[in-house]
Amino acid sequence: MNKNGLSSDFIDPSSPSVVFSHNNRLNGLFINAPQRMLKEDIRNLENNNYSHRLFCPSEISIVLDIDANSGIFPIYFASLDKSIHVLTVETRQNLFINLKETIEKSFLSNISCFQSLDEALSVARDLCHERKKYIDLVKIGRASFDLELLKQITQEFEAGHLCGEFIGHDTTALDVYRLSAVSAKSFFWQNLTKENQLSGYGNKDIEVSVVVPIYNVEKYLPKCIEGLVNQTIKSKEILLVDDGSTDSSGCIADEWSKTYPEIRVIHQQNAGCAAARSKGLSEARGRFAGFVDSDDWVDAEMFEKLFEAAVTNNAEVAQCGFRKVYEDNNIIEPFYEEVGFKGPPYSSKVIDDALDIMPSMPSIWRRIYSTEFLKGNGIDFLHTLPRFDDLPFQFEVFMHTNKMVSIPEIFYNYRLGRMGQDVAARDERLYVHFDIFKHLREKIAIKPRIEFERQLKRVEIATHEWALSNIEDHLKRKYQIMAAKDLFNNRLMISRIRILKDAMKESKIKGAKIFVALILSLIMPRE
Amino acid sequence: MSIRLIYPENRKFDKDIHSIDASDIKQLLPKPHIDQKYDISLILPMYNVAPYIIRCLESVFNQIDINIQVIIVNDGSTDESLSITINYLGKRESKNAIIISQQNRGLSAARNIGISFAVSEYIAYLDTDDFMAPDAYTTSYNFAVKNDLDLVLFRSMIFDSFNLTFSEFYDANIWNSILEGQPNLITTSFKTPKLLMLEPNANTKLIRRAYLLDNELFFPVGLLFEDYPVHVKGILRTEKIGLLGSKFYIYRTNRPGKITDEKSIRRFDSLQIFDQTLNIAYNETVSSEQGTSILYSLIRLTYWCGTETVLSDRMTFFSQLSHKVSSIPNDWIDMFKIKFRNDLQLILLCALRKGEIKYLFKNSVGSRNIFRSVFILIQQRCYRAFFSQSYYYLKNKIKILQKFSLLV
Repeated sequence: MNKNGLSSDFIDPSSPSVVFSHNNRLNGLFINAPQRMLKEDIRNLENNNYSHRLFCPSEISIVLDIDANSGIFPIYFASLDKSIHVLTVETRQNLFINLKETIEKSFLSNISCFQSLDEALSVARDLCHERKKYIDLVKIGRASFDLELLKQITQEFEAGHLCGEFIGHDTTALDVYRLSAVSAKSFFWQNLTKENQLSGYGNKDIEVSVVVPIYNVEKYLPKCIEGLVNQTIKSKEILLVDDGSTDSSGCIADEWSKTYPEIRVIHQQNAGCAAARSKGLSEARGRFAGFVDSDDWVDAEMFEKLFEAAVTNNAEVAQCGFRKVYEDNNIIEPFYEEVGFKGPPYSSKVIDDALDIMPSMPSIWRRIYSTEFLKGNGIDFLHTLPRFDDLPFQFEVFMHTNKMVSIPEIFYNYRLGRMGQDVAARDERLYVHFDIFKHLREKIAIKPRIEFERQLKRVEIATHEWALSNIEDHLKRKYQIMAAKDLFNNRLMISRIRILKDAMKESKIKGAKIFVALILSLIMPRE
Repeated sequence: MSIRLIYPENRKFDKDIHSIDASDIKQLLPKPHIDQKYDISLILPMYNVAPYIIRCLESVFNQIDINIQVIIVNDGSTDESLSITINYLGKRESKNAIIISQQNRGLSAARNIGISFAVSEYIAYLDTDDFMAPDAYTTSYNFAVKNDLDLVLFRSMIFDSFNLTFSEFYDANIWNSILEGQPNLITTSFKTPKLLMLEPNANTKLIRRAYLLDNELFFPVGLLFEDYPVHVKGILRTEKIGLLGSKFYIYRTNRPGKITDEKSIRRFDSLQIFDQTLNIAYNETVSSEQGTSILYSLIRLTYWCGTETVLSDRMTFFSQLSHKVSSIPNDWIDMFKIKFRNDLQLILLCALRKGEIKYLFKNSVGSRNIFRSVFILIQQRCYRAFFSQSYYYLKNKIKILQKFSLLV
């Protein structure tokens, strides 16, 4: 900072004067306070670990502070404005005596300390007589934190802002999140075990909306719906979008919706899977949205666990593992992530840069997405695409996401080998890939980053290879030429050499074939 | 174009008081009398900020022991911002506030109109999606009056609207190196050229009204990044600048649903800002140290703008920028080479100077070519930078080799 090394001589970052710049008289109060505790409290206040700076002093009338520690937090609030009533609870005897002395010396009349919560709550009741029971700011320290305690307070009082710290694994974090989201306007908790924060605004919306596009799947539909209504997550809605089925699928959906109020059925004329998903997404009212295919089914815990992973990590997207189920010979094989996990994974993982998993197979159905995130970035399904709409959706999500979390458990059952399924297409329908990649190139041109295009090329290579192995023989030749052109000629920033390198690395086809493709693309004119 | 004044306390809305030509602000200016009733005139340009406006107004009306003339300029909001504001002012029964409602003409025009209604000795701005610390204006006003200052600058913080976290502002390092641990400092741009490297933000300032009017510190209408020329001119023209080390201004980021992709063409505004700011610097005959500081912040702005344009605009953007950079005097460049020898900005400057458009393009999409960077540095005779860059390059190479345990 300073060449003379004097940088911190003027202001000691851990002295109370940092907090009391508006009232220097209070600096000397904390001589007797336990110094380590004092330093920690000052750091918490200065680093805004309670997000208390979000509020003006005039907006606050009652502050409830459980675990006063050194006492700097309650005195800070009491000194901001005379109209703020600060109630502090300190159950530890020695700290309580210390706190009482400090408060007396401060000559602040709007602060009172108690040794038990009940006393404090009864005073709070008196303070908000006639008005509705409302505490503007509740802070709970880690020594007293208890879910029951939080419940007790939030049951009786409405809260403006909840903050503090707790020691907890994911499950308690989820409980704290749910309780806070329902009962407070905003909240900011520090989870000391995971060293992250749990923050957000009050939200009484449904937690997860699940969208199921339906088209002629009467054989599989009941199992799919059953898996969804049995979800352990309580706050959910299930949107069954019947895309003009010609069999009894639509009736089955209507039947189920009579018994389960969380099911909503939307009937539309046949417009394709993309349109159905898009319709469902626009109707979704949940904080997160998930998509389940109507011929697959999910395990009961899936959305509870995904929701937990997303909110406790402040992530926009959460994903779980899946099983491939082969219909005809009853083989079920678990599928592990190629990137991120080697072998069976054991713990959840936060993925900050989704580039790593971009080339993985399109599997939008094993994730939940924050609806606000999707809307904010304008991500939707492409109505113009008759099929494979999940590929561009997944790519765009990965392009825009800042934080994504992956959990190791396997909850989704993906059925393979069924006739008429998209994946089984073998004819001209496969040409749709070229439109998809064109669309994605346009998207990349708006937010250009060479890594995106590189990943796109890797996806292209993998997709074309897969298509070539599936396509009927008489179409193969034409597809090959088109793929070569698409790969090497239609590019934005990346060089041919780089594509070639990647292709050699990724592709299982012999290197010579790729060279032929390169030469072909050089001879042929650009589009 | 007519401007309507609204007096919330009288409940007489939509009353046309006069029609004025918006482009000619000078005619609008009231007689330079100062109303002793108010300490500060605060100008709040408002455009579609319904979810945030209350927090902003709360932070303004609850400043302690200070009389603020609040001038709210509604710049043609299409959401409920205006009605929320009227309700709030009605509830507070504030006699110090006026609302000016005009058709949408942009942030600069809104601020300029605001200036013409300001009657107190000091003027400040605040964007209505951001907010202020409770003692911000009191402290900075007292500081200004006590030391008879023309300009007071204070620090800022970033508030993440999604996570509710607060963090350091982008120019925190520059502030730290200027203040060197002192709580405040009175200086000039000649003594502390680093002042010109600070993030130019209209909201982190308190300006004396007479000083503002004498030097015509108005915002360029119709351009984005309007804070730059005013910031530079404001700092260069006075000998009485005060710096306050407190983090008063809180800047909101991560507003949900904010799509910036369509703004590509607006990024070209930064090129005009580049010209305007440099012209100011030439006219003021700045020292080469001051010049390099201005250049540094301009290169940072324009390169960032370049990385925000869509792909089809990008080459054009960089070639235009490169053309502008080639006319910068040599002594500034030489000074730049010495002062920022370890800074990545130097490579950008050299590339712009040499017209390496393709290199800049590739750099901006995230494809780093270290050989090319080093080559450019040698060509531009930045030997010291060349050595330190090569050193970092080698260090990284060694790290990678160690990773593969080829070299232990």
